[in-house]
Amino acid sequence: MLNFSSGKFIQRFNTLTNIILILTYIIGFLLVNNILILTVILTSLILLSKVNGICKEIFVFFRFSVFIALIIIIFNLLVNKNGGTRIFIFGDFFITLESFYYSLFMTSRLISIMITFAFGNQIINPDDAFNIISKIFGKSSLVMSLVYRLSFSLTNQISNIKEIEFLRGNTFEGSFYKRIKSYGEVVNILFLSSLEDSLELAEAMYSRGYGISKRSSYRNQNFTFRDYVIILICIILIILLTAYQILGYNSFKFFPEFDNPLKGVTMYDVMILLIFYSLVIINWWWINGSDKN
Amino acid sequence: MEAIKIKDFTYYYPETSRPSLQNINLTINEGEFILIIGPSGCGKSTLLRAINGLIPNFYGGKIKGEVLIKNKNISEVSKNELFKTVGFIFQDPEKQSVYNSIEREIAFGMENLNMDIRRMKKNIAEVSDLFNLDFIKEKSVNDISGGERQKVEIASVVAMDPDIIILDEPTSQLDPISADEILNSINKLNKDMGKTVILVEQRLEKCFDMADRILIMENGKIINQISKDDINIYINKINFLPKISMIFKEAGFKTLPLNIKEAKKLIANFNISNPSNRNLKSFNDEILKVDNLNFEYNPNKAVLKNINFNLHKGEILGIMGQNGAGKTTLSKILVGLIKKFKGKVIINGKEIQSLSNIERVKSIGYLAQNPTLYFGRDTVFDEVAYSIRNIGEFDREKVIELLKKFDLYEIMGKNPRDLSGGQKQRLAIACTVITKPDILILDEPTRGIDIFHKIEIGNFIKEYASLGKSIIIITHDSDFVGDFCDSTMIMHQGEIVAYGKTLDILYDAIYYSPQVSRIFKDKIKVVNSREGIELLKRITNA
Repeated sequence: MLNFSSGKFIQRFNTLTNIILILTYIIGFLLVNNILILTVILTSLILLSKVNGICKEIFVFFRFSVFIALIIIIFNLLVNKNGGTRIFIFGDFFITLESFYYSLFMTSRLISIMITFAFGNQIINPDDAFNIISKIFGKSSLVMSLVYRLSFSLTNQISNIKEIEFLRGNTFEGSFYKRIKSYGEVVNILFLSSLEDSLELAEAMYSRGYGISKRSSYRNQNFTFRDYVIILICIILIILLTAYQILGYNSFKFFPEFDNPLKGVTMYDVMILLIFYSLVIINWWWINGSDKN
Repeated sequence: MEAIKIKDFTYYYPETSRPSLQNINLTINEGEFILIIGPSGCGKSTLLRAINGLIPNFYGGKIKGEVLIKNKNISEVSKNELFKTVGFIFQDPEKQSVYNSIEREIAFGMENLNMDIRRMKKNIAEVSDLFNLDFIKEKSVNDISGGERQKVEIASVVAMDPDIIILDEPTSQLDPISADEILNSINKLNKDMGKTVILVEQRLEKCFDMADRILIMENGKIINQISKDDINIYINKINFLPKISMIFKEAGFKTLPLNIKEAKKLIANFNISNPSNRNLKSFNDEILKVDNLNFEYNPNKAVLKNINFNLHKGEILGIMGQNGAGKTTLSKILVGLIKKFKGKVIINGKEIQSLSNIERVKSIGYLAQNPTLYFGRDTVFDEVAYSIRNIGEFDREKVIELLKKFDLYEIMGKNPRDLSGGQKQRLAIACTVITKPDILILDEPTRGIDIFHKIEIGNFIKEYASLGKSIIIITHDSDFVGDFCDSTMIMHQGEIVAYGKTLDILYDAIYYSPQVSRIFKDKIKVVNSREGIELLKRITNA
């Protein structure tokens, strides 16, 4: 959560509200199997960030996730032999339209989740998030907070390690395999160093009494009417998404032939999408209507 | 009243058969200032951790004997009470901070003790005044200097109002000005607030003056305890001394000074002539030329302005200056990490931008401050071989030869991260010099290391330069520059404000002069400790 810098409208919400908002989107992206619905939900998230003026910051993550998505598509095409419509045949090797479609869907899901995390980076104050985590998870939050803190050191150290690797002749250039290997060296050092740093932080936290008893909080955040509205919408969405799964509206086949995404859209889908978009509209209204002056 | 009493205490880290602490017996009274000194790995930090219960509560392991805090056995004291009584401050401020907001970071310990908000606010206000943190209180910990960050961590512990404050090399990662500020703050805690302070520190110059008692440790044992009044009686028996005392000790003085004032007093009545055999090196073959170098990260905010200098084969150049002076940016340009700059950087007759990867790796080596960022391979051997494998010039014999030279041959199958601090430092140097770079850049090589390791590094630098290689040392350590550098550059706000022979630059310096220059100020022009010792020997012989 390194990129948080206060000043945007959505950052005025209670941190718990924003965490619930992020969780709602993640649940949505994890549950929905129709690429069309997934894309429309993603668009609502992008519009929400646009309304709040943080779209540019999220786009940086988008570029990064496209690179990973390409790797997943290639890997999936090489490994996944399901599906009946062969679109490429070379000796024993073949690629099916269904596996291509499936890999496209999976990467869209991955990109959506990564963008949601990027959005979370922008709207969640890490200090408040830490407070909430430590309250919810009690003593085990030592582990939680270490994982949480790991993301700080990951981002901070990556450029330092890349520089040292570059000076030791690792140029991050060459074939695809060579580049993956080069970045693998960085990731290896990154995780080892971060783990060591986390242990040091754990010791420092412990020595200042962390986890010995109930904690008080120096900054308590209050819930406002707006928080309740957003939380209510999120709860409705989570219930609807769960029912969507249980009631079978989410059945979407990829193999042996994939269903038509457009044909599978029901009124239930439209209702869920409208509620996702209500988040955008309400935010827009608060920013441009009630809060404009 | 006794604040701490340790009786027959022995400790084994988990899965070790050799004790890290052996039969420790120690009594520390309330309000005492204790300084613990000794070589790396002698058990100083382990002893501190035993006093606040990190050992065995956090680390595990086996213990014998007992630790009493205010006459209560530490195992019977509740953790809440223990952390309220004993505060602990670690080496690296970056690895201690939990929150981004400074105010909340100060409150962290109090939150853990479940203090109410009114008391937290009051304590934060008080410690902010005490440590002069009001002007940064609204900032993020990422936007302040290392010294300020360490002050915030100390404030966070002091806000919990412990009676005993333990500090494990709190200035080791800081520049001299920040370190001085921190040590002054620590002194204030003891002298003005009556806190019991236990300090492990490598910067001994100030600490010897501050401490009431000095504990000397070796191989997990306390081998000597010297009270402030008896320091001069025992000083000859102490190996870890302030630099100034070491100089006089080596010169054969019986009474050793602890600070510049005492040193000047000791030689005040002697006339000393200039050293006759002074032989300043001259260099001919230019290897690096920096011509009219300018650089800015953001438009109209110059980080480097009109930088011009040359480096010759065999020359050792020290670059000094405060944080933000442009030293790191300059080094990033010299090693080829920053490519878009104005002006010219020519290495061995070729512009740096035109060097191929292999040429660059062979021309310039860079040793960063944090050696652990080098270690990602499974064994010491693979780590040293990494650079030459990357440039396609792997030679097993060459790696073995270097491992032997750096005393790493016996442990070449070990994981680099399992090595001791000194071994890690040697390994990082070996990784950097495996390609035998023509120019070696060392960034703060002496930060956080004791005087004996400093000499080891200095000797390596001298040896490497004798092979016709050039070395640039970026440092705040004027004593080290005075002892080992042929030329010196001082940078300030992106400009070179002084550049020339080390003797000329440092002797006249106000802040950057080495301690030996300050002793002989207005008597003799000297910046090198070895020369200072020779001069003092003339007095002892006279």
